[in-house]
Amino acid sequence: MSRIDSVRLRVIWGRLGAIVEEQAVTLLRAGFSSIVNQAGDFSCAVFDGAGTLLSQSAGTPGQLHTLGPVVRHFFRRFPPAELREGDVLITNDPWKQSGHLNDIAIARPIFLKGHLVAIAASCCHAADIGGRGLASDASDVYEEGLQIPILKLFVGGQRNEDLFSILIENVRMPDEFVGDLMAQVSAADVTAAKIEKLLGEFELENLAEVGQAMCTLAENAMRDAIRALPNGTYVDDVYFDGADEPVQLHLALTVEDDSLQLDFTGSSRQVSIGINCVPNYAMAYANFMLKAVLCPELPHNEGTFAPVRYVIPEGTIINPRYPAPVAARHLTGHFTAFAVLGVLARLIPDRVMADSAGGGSAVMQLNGTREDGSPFALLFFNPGGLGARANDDGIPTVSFPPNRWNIPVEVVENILPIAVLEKELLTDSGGPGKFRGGLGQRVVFRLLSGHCWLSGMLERTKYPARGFWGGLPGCTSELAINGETVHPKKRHELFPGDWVVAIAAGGGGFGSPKDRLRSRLLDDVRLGYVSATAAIVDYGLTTEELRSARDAHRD
Amino acid sequence: MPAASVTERRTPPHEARFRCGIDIGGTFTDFVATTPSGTTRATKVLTTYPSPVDGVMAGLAELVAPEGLSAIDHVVHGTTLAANLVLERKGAHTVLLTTMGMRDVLEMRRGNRVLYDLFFKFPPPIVPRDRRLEVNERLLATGEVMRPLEQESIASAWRKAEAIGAQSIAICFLHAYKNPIHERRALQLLRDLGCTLPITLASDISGEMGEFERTSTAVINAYVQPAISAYLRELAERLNGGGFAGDFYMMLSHGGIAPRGTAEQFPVRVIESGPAAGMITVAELAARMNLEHAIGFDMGGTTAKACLVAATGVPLRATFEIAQGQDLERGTGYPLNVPSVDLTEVGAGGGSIAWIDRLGLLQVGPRSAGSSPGPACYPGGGDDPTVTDADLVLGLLNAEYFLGGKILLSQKRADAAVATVARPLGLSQLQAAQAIHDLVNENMCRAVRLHALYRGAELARYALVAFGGAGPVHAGQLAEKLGISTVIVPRLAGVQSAEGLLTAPLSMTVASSFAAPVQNGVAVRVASEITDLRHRALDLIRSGAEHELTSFAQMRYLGQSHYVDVPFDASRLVAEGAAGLRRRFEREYARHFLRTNAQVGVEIVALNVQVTVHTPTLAHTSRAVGRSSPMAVGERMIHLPGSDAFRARVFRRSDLSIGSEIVGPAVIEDVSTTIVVGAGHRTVTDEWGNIVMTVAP
Repeated sequence: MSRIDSVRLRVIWGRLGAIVEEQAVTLLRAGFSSIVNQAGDFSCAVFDGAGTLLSQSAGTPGQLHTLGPVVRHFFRRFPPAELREGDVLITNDPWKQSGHLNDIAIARPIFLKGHLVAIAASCCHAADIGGRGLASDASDVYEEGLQIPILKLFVGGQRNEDLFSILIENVRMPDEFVGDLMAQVSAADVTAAKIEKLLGEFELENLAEVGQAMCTLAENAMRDAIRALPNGTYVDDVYFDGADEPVQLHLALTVEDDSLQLDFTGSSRQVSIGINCVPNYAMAYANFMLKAVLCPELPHNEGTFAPVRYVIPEGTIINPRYPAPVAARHLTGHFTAFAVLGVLARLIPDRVMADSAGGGSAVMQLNGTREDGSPFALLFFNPGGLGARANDDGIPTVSFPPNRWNIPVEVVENILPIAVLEKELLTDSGGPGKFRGGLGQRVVFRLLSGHCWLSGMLERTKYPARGFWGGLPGCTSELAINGETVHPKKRHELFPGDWVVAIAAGGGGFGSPKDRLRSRLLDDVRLGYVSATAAIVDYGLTTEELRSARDAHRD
Repeated sequence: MPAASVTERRTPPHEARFRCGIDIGGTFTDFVATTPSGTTRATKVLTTYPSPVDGVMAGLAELVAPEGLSAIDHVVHGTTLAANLVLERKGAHTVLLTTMGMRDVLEMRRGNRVLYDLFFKFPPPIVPRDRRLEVNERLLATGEVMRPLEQESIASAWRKAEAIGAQSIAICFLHAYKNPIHERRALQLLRDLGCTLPITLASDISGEMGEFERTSTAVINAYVQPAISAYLRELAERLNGGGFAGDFYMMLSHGGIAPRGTAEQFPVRVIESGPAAGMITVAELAARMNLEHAIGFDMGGTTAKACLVAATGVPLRATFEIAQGQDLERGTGYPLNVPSVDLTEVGAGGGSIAWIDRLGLLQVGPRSAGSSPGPACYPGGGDDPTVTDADLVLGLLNAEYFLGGKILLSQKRADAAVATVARPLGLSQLQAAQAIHDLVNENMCRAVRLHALYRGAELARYALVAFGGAGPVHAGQLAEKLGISTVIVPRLAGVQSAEGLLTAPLSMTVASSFAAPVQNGVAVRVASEITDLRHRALDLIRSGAEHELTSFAQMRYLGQSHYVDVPFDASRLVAEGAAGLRRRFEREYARHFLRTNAQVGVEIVALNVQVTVHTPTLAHTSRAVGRSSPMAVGERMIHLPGSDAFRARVFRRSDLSIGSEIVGPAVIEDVSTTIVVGAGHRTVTDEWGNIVMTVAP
C-alpha cells in the first residue's frame, strides 16, 4: 500500500464503520419490540466476499466472537458457488454463534456483476424461541427451544415458506419473532445497497484489497501491543458459585513474541444446568478484556484477534458437548474476562483494574400477577461495583463486563406491585485498597399486592471480586427473603407483605489500603463510603487521625 | 415629569424603535437590532470576564449609538452562562432533600458506562453525598400517600442544611411527577422555618418518570439559580439605569422566549439556549424561502451541530445531557429533563486536532484546541495541527482577513503544525491538509446521516443551512458527501444566534408522564390533563393572552419501548375519543415504520403541550433580483480534497448585491466566516441577502 493510499484507506474504513452503524440503527428502528427492549443485544457486521470480517457495530461484548465464526459455518454449508443474489442464510445453533438458541444469526451475500463481493450479517436476540423459555434450569438444549440448522431463509429473493411456517409454529410470539427477523433482513438489504454505492464511488471491483489492508493494520497494532508484554506462560484461576458446586476457570496465558495463547485446560467440567457456555461466547468475553486493556480504541475486524489462539478442551464448562443446556451461558461466560484480567494485572498493572461485581449484581426475574389477575414480568437489574482502576477508585453500581442500562425505580413500581424502600450504596462494600473498589448496593423491596415468582440470578455469593496488588476483595452478594438468606439462583414465591433484601457485590480494591491517600480515606468516611471501623481495621487509620479530621470538618 | 413626555415615549416615531437580541458566547457577545421597517444593525464585541454585563452594555451602546437605550422596546437575551457554571462546576453550594432510602440516586446513575474504556469517569455528582438529606415520606406509583411527610424530618434537614452552609435547595421525592403534594408541603415547611434560600421543586420542572434524570434536573437548576438570578438582576438594573424601559425576555432551550422571571425561577431551561437560537432562524429561513425541510449546520470551534428543521418549526427532544465525555456518548453526562431543540453534536470543529493513531492512520478530533490555546495559526495558539490550520494551508482562509482582520493568522505556524502529521504519513503538507479537511467532513457526514436515519429523514430532500465560523468553509464539501444539492449561507451567518433571539416566539413547552392505555374514557382524561398543562405553561410565560396550543402524545404499541410523537387537536379530542387517538397514532406509526398492527393495544406514555403567544416576524427586506457579476478583490490558489489546485477568485461578501452570481472555484470572505465555493459549485445572492449555493453537478 502506498503512502498516499493511507488517507483513502482511512476514509473507506470509516465508511464501512458508518455502514454497519447504519445497519444497526435500521434494525433497531424496524425491529418490533424484543430488540428495542433488549437494546444493544445484537450486532451487525460486514464481511468481504471471502468471509473476512471487515467491520462490526459496537454492541455487547458477547457478540465479539459471533459473526466471524457463524459466517465461516455458513460458507462451510453453502460454499460461494451455491449462493446467489437474494439469498439469506439463517441459524441459531448455539455452538456456531453466540451461545444460546435465542440468538438468531442471518447473513446476506452481496453480489456485484455476478461476483460475491461482500456479506452483510447480523445476530439478534429473540425474546422467545419456544421450549421452556429463557431459563437456566433445562436439562438439555432440546428443552431450551427450537433449533434452526443452517438454512436458506430466502432463496433468490423468495421467502422459504416451509421454514417460516416451522418458525411461526414453534415460538410463543410469532408476530414479534417474524417482525424482528424481517428487520434483520431489511437492514442487511440496506447495507447491500450501500456497499454497492461505496464500491462505485471508490471504483473498486471488490473489498478484498482494502479489507486485506484494514485487517493487516489491525492485526499489526494488536501484535505491537502483545509484543510489549514479557514472554512466558502465566496462570490464573477464577472461582465462582456455579450451580451447586463451585466452578473453576483455569487459564494459562502464553505470550510468545507477538502472539497469545489462552489455554483453559484444567477448568471445571460441564454441568447439568444451563450455565454451560459455548466456546464462542467464552472467547468473546476473553477477547473483550484483551481489547479493553490492549487496544480499546481500535476498530474491530478479522485482524484484531488473529494473533490470539484459544485452547478450550471439550467437556469443560466453557466447551460443553452437545446437547448440553446452555441458555444462561452468560453467568459463566463473563468470568473468562476476569481470568484474562487476573493475568494481565500481573504483566501490566498500570493498565488494568481489579475484578468487578459482574455477575454479582443483584439480578432478579420477577414474574407474577397483580391483584386484578393481570400478569407482569420484569428483569430487575441492580448492578454492583466496578473494580478499582490502577489510578483511581472503581465506579459504583455499574454494569460490567456488558454495558446495559437499568430501569428506574419509578418505572419498576409502575410495572409491578412492589415498593422499593431502599436502594443505596452499601458502606464498606468496595474492596479496600490504595484505590477502592466501586461500591455495590443494597436494595430492599416489598410486594404490596398480588403474587410474584422471584428467580434469582446472582453470582459471587461465595466468591467476591478479587483485589489486585494488595487490594482486598469487595463484599459478596446476597439474596434474602423476610430476613432469611435464600438460594441465589432458584425460584422463590412471594406473597403480599414479603420483603426482599438483595445485595449487589462491590468491586475489588487495587494496591495496599495502607497506601490510600489519607485525605481520600477521610472523605470516604465523611461520605459514608467507608465506615470508621473499616477505616481503622482495613486501612490502618488511627483513632487519633479520625478524631482530628472530624474536629476539623466540624469547624 | 409632564404627562406629554410619557405619551411621547410610548408612541415613538416608528422608525426609531428597536427590538434587540443579545447573545453571549464563550468568546464573543453578538448583537442584532431591528426596526419594524426592517432596518437591521449587528455588531460583535469580545465577551468580558468576569462580568459579561460590561460587554453587553458596551455593545448595546455601540449598536444604538445615536438613539440610546431608551429607544429599545424589547430585549431578548441568550447566554451560555448557565452552561458554563455547570461545566466549570462553579455553581452554588446545593443541598438535596430526597425520599428516605433514595439518597444515592445521583451517584448510582443508570448502570451504563463506556464499553471499552476501563478508565472512564463520570462527572462527579453535583451534590455530594453528605449534602443529600433524607426525608421521611413516600408516595406510591399511583401518587397515593404510602407514608405521610414527617414534619420533623424537614426540620432536621433544615438544621443540617443551615449547618452545611447551603446556598440553594433542591427537593426531589419519588413519584412526585404524579403527585407534587409532598414536595410542595416540604417547601411550605421550609419557608415556615424561616428558610429564604432559593428552593427548586423537581415537580415544577419535570413531569417525567425516572428519578435519576428528574433529580439531576432539579439539582442543576438549584445549582445555577443563585448566580443566574444575580446576573439577570444586575443586567436588568444596568439596562434600566441606561434608560431602557422595555420588556426583557430570555431565550430558552426549546427555542421559545419567556419573561426574565421565568428564567430566574428555572435557569436550567436556558442552558441550551444558544444552539436553539441558531436553529430557529433556520426554520424561519426555510419558511420564508418555501423550503419544506432544511438541515441547520452550525460548525464552531469545538463541535459541529446539526438539526433537521421543518419550515413549521424546530423539532424538540425531552431530555439532553451536559458535561458528557469527550465522545459525547449518551449517558455520560448530567441528564436534564427540559425540552430542547433536537440536535446532534459531534466533536468536529475548527479547533479539532489531527493526530496519528496506533494504526498509523490519520484521525481528526474529537480533542479540540478550543479557544485556548486555539489552533496553531492563532496568536498564542497551540502546536497541534487543527482543522483551521489545514483550512489555512489549503488557501480556504485568508490569514489577513480572519474575523474581518481582527485576528492575524500565522501561515508559518499552520504549515509547521500540519507538517507534524504530514511527515510520518509521507504526505506533502498540502496532501495532509486535504486529508484533515476531508476527514473532518467525513466525521460530520457520519453524524448527520445517523441523526437523519434515527428520525427517518431522507437527506436528499433537504437544504443545508450553514453558519458558525467554520460552517460555510466546509458546507459545500459536506453537502456533496451527503448528496445534498443546495447550501444556504444566511445573510447574518456570523450573528445567527443573536438573530434567532428576535425570531423566537413567546412560548412554553411542558410535559407530563401521563400514562394510560388507549381505551374508552381516555380522551376525557387526556383533555383534562392538557388543560392543566396549558395553564402551567401560560403561568410560566406570565401570559393569559390569546395563544396557539400544540399538543403531542408520546404513544406506542403495548410492549414496545420506542414511542412516536403523535400530534393531535386538543379541541377535537373528546369528540374523536379513544378511536381518534388510535387512528392518529397509526397514521404517524405507519409514516415511520410502514406498517401497523391492528391486534396490539396502544398506550400513551407522556403528553407534551406547547403554547405560543405570538411569533414575531423579523422584518426581512426582500429586494428585486437582478443578475450581476460582482468584482473580485483578488485571486489565490485553493486546494480541496480529491482535486488539484484551483486558481480561485476572492470576493468580499460586503461587495455582493442582490442577484450577484459567482461560479466556483471562488472564496467569499465574510467578517465572521468564509464561504468556499468549489469547482462546479455556483452561488447567487438571493432577494433576502442569503447566499444560495448549488452543489449538484
